Amino acid sequence: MNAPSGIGTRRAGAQRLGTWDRPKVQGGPVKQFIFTWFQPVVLAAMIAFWTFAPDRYATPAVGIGIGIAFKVVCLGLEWVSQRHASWRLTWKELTTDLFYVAVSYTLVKYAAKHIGSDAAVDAIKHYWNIHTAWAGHWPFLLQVFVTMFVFDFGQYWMHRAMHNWYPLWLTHAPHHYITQLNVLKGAIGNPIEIFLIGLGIGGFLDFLPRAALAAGGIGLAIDIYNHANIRFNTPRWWLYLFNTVEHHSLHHCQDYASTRCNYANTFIVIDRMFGTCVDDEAELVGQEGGRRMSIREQMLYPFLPVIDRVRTWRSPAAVPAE
Amino acid sequence: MSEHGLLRLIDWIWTVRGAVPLAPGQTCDTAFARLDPLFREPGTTRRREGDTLVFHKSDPLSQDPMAVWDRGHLQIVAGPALHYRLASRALGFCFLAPALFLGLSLLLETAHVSGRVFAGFFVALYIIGRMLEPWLVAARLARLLAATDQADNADSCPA
Repeated sequence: MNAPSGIGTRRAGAQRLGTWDRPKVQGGPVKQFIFTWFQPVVLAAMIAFWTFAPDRYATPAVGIGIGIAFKVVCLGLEWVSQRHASWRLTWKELTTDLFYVAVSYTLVKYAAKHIGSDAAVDAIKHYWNIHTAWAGHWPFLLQVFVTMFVFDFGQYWMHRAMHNWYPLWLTHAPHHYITQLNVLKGAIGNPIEIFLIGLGIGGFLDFLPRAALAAGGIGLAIDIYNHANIRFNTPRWWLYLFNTVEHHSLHHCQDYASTRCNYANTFIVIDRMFGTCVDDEAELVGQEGGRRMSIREQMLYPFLPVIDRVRTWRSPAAVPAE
Repeated sequence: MSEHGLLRLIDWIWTVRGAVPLAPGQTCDTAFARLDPLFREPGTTRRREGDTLVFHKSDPLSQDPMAVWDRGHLQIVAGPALHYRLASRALGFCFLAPALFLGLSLLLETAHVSGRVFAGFFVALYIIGRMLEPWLVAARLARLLAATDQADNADSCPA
């Protein structure tokens, strides 16, 4: 094992791509084929749909519907090609996960609309009279790629900051207390973190709305793969470009120092650019040896230092009797 | 109606009651020994007093087979049979979740549709969970009690 160099006991770039012990999908040739090509084929299908769909179908409602249907399909795939028995989805886990998804789609969405980056960008563009409609004339695939890359680049640095600056770690830590990975686990976390990780500057470029929908759909799909208990025979070229459950399970491993790698949500190649990519995987995930955090504690966690300080202030240490 | 009676009327929302028959001649010690692995999980405390076992779970692990039940009372009665009463905060929470998200759909213009959709999801999840989890726990208890790996020991349990 290499000596530590900033990311725990693993060294960025030390593990050759795809050379670690990766068990193969169990089953016949059809199943092998499906779970080898599923991720690339879905990517191609999404690009094709958002490129060629008639305007009446290229709407946010259809995008949300595709997202829900895709999550249901991937929940089914967890049963067909399970990655780890120790990550098996239970009714309680599914209910908990769905609560966080619901919070994201209601409260966090409300906050993002009114005080999020899109609201700030709109205000700045309005104040400075900035118009970028010309961006909507770029080639469609370029619009999709730039939307995804700009957002992921910002998310990379926000995520990296969360692992390196304590006040931000307080918001992000609850996400690292998940003790197994499943399709909806990407939504688990304190709402403040979910709000922060969603900030971006992509709104400065007025791309076509369907380009934003395509970018959102592809980003969501890869986020689902990252957290899914699905065994894929991920192709090596895909491992080089995109984040995967292999990379992201390592990011969630119980050794805290080893979580400080693989920060990008979509393009693991951003981690390769900045020397924080580690090509490896883990099964034991979580913090504090795998302690499962309740919803109440997840919600309060960022405020615990303040709560502790108030408690200390209200009940000062007893003065010893003379 | 007394406070206790009112609680008994609504606690089916988060509480499950049931019974599993014991094999003829099976004793308290044998029965509780066979169930013991269920209560050796992290975050679980248990107390045995004669024919009764009471347990409590705090932040159980996801794969704890009894994770959904936060506390329980198991008693061996004449018959013999194991009677149990198990309470679940997760079931109670799932029962209340639709009201929370329906409320948000009324309060927030961005949650008008999504709040109702998630309320519907939680209604469906509650119905599934309220049927599935009691069935799973009854099957698990019956399977463990039917195991034939230990000899019975005479004790003071009701026969």
